[in-house]
Amino acid sequence: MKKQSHITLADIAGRLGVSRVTVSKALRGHPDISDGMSKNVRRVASELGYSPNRMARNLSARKSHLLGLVVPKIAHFFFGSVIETVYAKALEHKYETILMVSHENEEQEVQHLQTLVSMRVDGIIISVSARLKDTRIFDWVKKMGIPLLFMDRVPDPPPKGSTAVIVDDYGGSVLAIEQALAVGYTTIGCIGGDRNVNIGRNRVQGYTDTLKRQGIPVREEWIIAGGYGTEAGYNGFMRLHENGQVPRCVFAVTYPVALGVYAAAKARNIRIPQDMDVICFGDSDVGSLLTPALSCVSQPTQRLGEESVRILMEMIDHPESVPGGSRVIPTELILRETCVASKGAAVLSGEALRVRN
Amino acid sequence: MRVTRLPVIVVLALIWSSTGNAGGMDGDRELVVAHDGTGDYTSIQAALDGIPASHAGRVVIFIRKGLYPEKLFLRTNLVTLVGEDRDSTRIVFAELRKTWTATHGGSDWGSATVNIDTGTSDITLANLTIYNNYGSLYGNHDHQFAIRGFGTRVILLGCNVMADGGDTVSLWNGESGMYYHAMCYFEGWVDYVCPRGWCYITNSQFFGHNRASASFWHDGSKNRRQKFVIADSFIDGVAEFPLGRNHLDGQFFFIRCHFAGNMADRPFYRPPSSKREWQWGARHYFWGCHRSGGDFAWFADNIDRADSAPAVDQITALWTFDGQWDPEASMPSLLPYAILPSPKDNAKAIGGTDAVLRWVPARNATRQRVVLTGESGAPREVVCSGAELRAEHLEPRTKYTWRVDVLAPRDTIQGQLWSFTTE
Repeated sequence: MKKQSHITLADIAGRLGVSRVTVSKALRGHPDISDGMSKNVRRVASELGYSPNRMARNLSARKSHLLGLVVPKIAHFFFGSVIETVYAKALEHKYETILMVSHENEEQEVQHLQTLVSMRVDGIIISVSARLKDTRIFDWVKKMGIPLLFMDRVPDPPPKGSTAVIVDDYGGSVLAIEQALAVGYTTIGCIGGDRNVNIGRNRVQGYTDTLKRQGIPVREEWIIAGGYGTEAGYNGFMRLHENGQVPRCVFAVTYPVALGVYAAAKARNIRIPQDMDVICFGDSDVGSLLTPALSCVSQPTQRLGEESVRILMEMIDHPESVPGGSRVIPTELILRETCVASKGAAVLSGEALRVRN
Repeated sequence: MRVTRLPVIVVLALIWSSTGNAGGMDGDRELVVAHDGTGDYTSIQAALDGIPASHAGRVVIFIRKGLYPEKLFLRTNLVTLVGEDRDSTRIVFAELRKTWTATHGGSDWGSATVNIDTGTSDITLANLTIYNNYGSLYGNHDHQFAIRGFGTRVILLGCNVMADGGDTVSLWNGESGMYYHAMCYFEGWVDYVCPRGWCYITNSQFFGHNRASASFWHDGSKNRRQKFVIADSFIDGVAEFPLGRNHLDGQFFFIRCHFAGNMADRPFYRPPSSKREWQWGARHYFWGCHRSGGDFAWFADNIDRADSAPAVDQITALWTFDGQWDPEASMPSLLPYAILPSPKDNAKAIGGTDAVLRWVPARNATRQRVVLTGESGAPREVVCSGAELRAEHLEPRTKYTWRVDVLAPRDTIQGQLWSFTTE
């Protein structure tokens, strides 16, 4: 079957006997064009099956009304939730979102940014990959005049003059560790994270600082870096177990890391929380369905996404009015069946206990 | 016995002539601009931009009453802008030439309220007001164009064209420009009507604010045959306004014009800033011109001294343009009243007992009433839809007046009174 040729503005203009400029303005709702003419143009466009060539439109318009969103993962509660929010909030501003997934790969991340710049997006939100080392690409994006906002994950150190919206990683991990200490645990390990990006560094820092403040020695062999996924949790737990001295409680730096810990504990017939307790940074919509239900530091993904879009819009429309630096979104502690003094209290309350930091 | 019954005027042609079609739309396209959104476009420039590059035939842009604070750029041939009402369809934009050129690399393109691009031809502006009001706003009456452009065959018909500074109408194709203006009002400061090439203006009024230099200016230096004719017009201005001057070779004909008493007793002159002598000498010709309060000797009849010594009846638009263009022969119906009578207004010695009356109808006039009155007896009337009638049984040596009224659904728009005298 012969493929139907693409309908262009010229086709609509030819049908109506007007210029392409008129058709383009009418489709954009330009006030120069009357409602009557606009309706005619839209009617003919619809009859012909016209769909706008967004790439071409971007070339001629000062604004593309496109946002770029680069995240390291997509099959992840945290990023899934943030992506949904960014999409919804962008649409409220009449922007569409182009999603790019780096798979924690720095090369892919650079390619994605170059692609987004070539598509003339009006702004970019990025959560950088864990393996990021070269930050020159961000200077290039800035030089191309495209506002860029770091969300959640920021290079360390952050590029000069950059803007970020992050959650309170340090404060959240302090909440978690203080909870573990409140339960009575004095041997607490830390699994996951790394030092390349802010979230790993800050969460581990919160862990060590809290222990130190309580006069509890920090044991380096109980800090197992390695990433943010399930595999990091599984392998980290196995390394702790192989060391022979397993801490009474483990702080997992992300929710997937906690899942890996659960899996490894099950493989080693170690009961949670009876033999070893777990608390983590980050939540999931299935967190309460785990056995035992996992207590965690919840990141307000919706607020993170909303705030990121709001600030990026300001950067696009009024770049001079947005100062650089980081806007920090507070976290909260959700207590379920792990790391609680009396798990019955949490269950009897009918819902998780929330402790704001 | 004088026959006064209706049949004495026999309708010769009930169909529109090809050029006299109401609106002139056969095969043409009409776009409507209304600032309130009731047309196709809300701005005139958007309508101009809406003309396809490959359009065939003339595009008429009808502009409803309203203030259009726009600067227009005309880059397409065969375009007519026609207003709904001469005084209420207003294109107003303030721009000082010096300011514009200082910020645009010395270029004049865009310095006027209406800008006509080089090579853009067959433009007609009708029944509207064009006003560069920079001077009123900022108190500076230096050069400020209402219309500036090039191209050729540009018609201004029934327009008010005003600027609060010099060079109001600057149509400057010195090589081949031909410009025809009728039934217009022009106002400005120094050289406020200053064509290059060929220009014919008829039945118009002028008001100049300039005392120091002049009102009219012409550059006809590229071709000895180029001329600037002003016929049957009234020329006014502030006290002691000078009539005209030309830096380069120019050729002026003032035919049956009336000058206000304010006009200075100052003949045409070559300004000190002129860089070279007029190679073809002083060519400023007059016929039948008078001034309120008394004539000056320098505008006495002298057309017999012009090249080929034309008779006054020869001096028409077609003659002005050296046979290259006859805008009156192909004038579309654009104004709200009939124009261009034939016989010409005040024509003498019309021979025979019958006369064919012709005119260009009013825009969209589907019913017209022609009223013919002799020196005695009742007026003869006929209702028609055409542009031509035969009047029979005319008395000799009689002055007849006639007019063409437009019979609109709700009212009658009475036409201008014309006259002719039989032999």
